[in-house]
Amino acid sequence: MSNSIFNKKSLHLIKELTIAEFKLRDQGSFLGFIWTLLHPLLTFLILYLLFNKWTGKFVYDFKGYLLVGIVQWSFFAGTTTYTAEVFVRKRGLLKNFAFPAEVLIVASVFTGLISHILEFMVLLGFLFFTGTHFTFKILCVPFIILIQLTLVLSASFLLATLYIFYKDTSRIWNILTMLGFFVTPIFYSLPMLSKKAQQLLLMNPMTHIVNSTRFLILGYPDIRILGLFMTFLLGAVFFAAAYYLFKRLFKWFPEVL
Amino acid sequence: MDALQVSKLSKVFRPQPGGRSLIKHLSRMLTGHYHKGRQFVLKDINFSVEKGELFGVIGPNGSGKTTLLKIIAEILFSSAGSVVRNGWVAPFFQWSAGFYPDLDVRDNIFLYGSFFGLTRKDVRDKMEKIISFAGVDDFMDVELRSCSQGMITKLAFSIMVHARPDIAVIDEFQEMGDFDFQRRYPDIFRSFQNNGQTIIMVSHNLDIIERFCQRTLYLKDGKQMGLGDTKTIINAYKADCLNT
Repeated sequence: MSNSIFNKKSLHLIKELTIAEFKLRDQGSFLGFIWTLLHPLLTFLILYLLFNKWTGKFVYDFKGYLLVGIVQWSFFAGTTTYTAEVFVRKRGLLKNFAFPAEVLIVASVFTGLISHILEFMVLLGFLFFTGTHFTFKILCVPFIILIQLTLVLSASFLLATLYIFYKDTSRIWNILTMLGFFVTPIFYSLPMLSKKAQQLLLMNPMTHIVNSTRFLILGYPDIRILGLFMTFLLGAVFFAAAYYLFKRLFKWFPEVL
Repeated sequence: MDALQVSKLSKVFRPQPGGRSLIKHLSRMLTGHYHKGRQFVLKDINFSVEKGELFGVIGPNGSGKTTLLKIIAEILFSSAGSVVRNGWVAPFFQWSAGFYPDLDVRDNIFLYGSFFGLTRKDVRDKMEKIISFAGVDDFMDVELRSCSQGMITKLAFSIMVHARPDIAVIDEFQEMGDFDFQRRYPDIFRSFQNNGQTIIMVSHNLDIIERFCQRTLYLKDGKQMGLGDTKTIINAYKADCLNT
């Protein structure tokens, strides 16, 4: 428990746990990786059928617009929800082996990240074959994912720490992510809303993540560099606060678990 | 030279109240039924273990043996006192916790090894020895759940032994595995001693403690009741049990 996460042993453990978790997700079911794609795909189909006529009037290539939004949102919501319970799920490891507890959070988030990158590959392939022309701007997408990763890690540290002491955390987070889905421009665009609503939605960091990704991949002009920078700053501050809380409480984990 | 020095070690647990939901917390706040008690699990423990020594810890259930081992292994924190470790400690508690039954044996060896600081290269270099020691040569590509409990235990023990820890702390040591595996214990422990490696083991099987450990610590209700030559300490423990 007392070792640092930044030593060779801990980094190696993160790698092994990520590989094991990813293989289990893949090998644990008959359809394997297809399950990873199935959820965003079904969400896409439903939203496309429901909103194509409405949102389609305001944005060109609604399918690409929608897919990017869903894939980016899925990474944030799916990974944070999965990681929230990681300490309880892996309590056997925490109570029987000596390693820094944050290894479990990082490995869980990295497992989500690998799935996200694979989803992204499939998404780009789909967009390419349906006629989307990519520009050099696409090379900047990893920077957006990096900012998003900071948000995911921050939320994961906070949720996983709180979940040990308050089991309600996971349920509250489920409700918040459901609300988050609707207050992020995934199946609608900002210009469709009133000025006041737009101002409110611009305070949501995921708005900037989703819209910036669309700008880089599809060329949608709705990007706010300052907003993206603020998202990065918020992610960094939020991460520092969540990590501080974790560090204050982690020594009680094996006892409370 | 000492492998381990434990001085004035104490551990206090704060018993967790049942139910951690918001409603339970609020009702406890309103009724004032918060558990404010502190429970001493270990109190003022002092001992040292020499390099290459086989050291036993005995005592009745709830005497603090496992807690002591977990503090030595840095899984739990002490409330007071100090533990000085001369080298790295490999914990061997509920070994099944480090395995993933749905992964194959090979993947599990890589994963389990990483809990003991072994990289993929380290494991590959030692793979042949690990699997022949555990006798799982023919099961490498099958799911771990297909292996018997005995095989899994031997595999965990084999990986721990081949990680070559400076200090191994073994909880509830039983004579695991089949007869062929059990008869190799003296050799395994001798090789530990020859390499200057230390073993600290907890067991309720007093024959095992007597057979392998040079010195033993006797704990009762978190207090140190005795420390010294294994035979003397076991006799004191037995006498204590008969008198209560």
